[in-house]
Amino acid sequence: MNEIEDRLRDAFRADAEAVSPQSLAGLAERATRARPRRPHWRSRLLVPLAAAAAVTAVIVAVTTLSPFGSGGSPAAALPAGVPRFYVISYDQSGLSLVIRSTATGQVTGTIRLPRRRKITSVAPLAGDEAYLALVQPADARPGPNRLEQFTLSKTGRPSALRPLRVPVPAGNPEFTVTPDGQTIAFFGGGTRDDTQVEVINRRTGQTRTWTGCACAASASWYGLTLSLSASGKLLAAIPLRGGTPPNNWLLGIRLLPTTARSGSYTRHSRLVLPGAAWAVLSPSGSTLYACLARPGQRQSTWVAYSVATGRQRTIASWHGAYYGGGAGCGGAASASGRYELIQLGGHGHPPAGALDARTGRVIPLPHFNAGQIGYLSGYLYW
Amino acid sequence: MRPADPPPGELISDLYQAHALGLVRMARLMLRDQEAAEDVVQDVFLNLHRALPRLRDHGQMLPYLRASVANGCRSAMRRRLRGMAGPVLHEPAADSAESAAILAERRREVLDAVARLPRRARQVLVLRYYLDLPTAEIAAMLGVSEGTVRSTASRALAVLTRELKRES
Repeated sequence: MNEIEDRLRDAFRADAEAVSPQSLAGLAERATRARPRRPHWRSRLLVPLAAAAAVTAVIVAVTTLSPFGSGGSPAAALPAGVPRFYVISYDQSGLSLVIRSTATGQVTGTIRLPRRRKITSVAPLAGDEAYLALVQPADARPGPNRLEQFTLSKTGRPSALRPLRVPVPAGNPEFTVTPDGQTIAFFGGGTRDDTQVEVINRRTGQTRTWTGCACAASASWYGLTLSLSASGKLLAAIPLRGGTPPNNWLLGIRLLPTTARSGSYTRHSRLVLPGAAWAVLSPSGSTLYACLARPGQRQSTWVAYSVATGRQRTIASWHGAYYGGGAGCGGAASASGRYELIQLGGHGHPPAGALDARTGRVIPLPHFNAGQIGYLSGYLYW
Repeated sequence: MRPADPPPGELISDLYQAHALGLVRMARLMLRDQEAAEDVVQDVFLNLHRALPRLRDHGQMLPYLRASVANGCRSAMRRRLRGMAGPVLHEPAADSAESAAILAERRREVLDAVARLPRRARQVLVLRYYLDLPTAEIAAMLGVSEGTVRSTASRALAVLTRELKRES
């Protein structure tokens, strides 16, 4: 019997050693490359609208948790303040939206759009029970872009869309809105090489426009970095130009005081946090919560950056990111700015988690679908 | 969660760093399929997020993880039996050139013979001859008696000996 036992041990050992840390890493990377990659927003300006794979995802936050009758695990598992619902594109074309419970993953409602229209962006308003959605023509024929509003009931059931009287730039703009809905920022309404930022104050009717920003509101997987402070006086976005490939689109964040005169974006804004891939402003505008990407490394680091002093402190850091170099940065911010929906990815992690910006604690959200998070992270709003 | 415990995400990340490779290897030996083995281990860690609050002794996580992987492999084997006909052929690792060089023909014969054994026998052999676990621990992990572990291993070795002699 000893001989067969020795042969067993030898065969097991040799076969097990075929699984090396490198082979596991290689598999993860191949899986990463095989995933669909969201086209850069500039590219999307050039392709027919009908071909644009626009997907919108919204995470809805509320300040208190209560049971919401959709089954699954109890909502009490999430701390107060973590958004209760999120919204994803049902068919990855933006033609319908599905609202799901953050705690259970259960569907609580669906928004279906009329033919030839699609939703490409959504942003939450105060209380996270009302949202603005950017509705565009779904085919190649030109048509007006519109902002429309919908609300969620306590159980996550959506209302019908209601048009908002706000002029929306043509093309494929991104947008964000202050919680009170009074200040709206559009991004990308200009030409390809002269992208413009437009901020509309609905209360005063004033519109300011800055050009020549060469900015990207979103950088591939990393999500939409277009964030207004609650007062609407400060806007954060990612600059596009500069640096050397492949990092030329991960330069950091630009902060623009929206009280500045219309004119040159570069002149009126300032660059902060070089290397940051995604960021969100706190409601007060005093803190920028950002994810620093490290291309080629499996490291995600989240920092809190003081807009006033320029100091930064690390609030969370981990290995095991899945999607591209330094991934795990994709995310969306809650309206309170306290919780960020972040993609964790990687073996051993659930696809997504809620990062508490105050404590650095990450609350796993195991009900999120890994594929959806990977694909939608560039569109998530919370 | 005890006050001294690290945050769940950190604990799980540490556990993953420390044990994932060994667990994938163990699952691969049981399933003879690296992709399926990774899926099993991934599921185990995902489930760990949910199970962590119920686990009192975080110092004994490795036996828990191994038992979870063994259970996951058992489920995967059942699914495979339902969905596939015939024995599963050995799938080399992704870096197959290196693996092919490593795996000599004699080893392959052994692994093929193990793959033809019933699933419990396969699990017992992997736990005993790859992880070198004592009988009591294997019994606890598989939820059977120590006597069952001993008799299963004995019968499996007898079958392997017979088969390998016939092939040679």
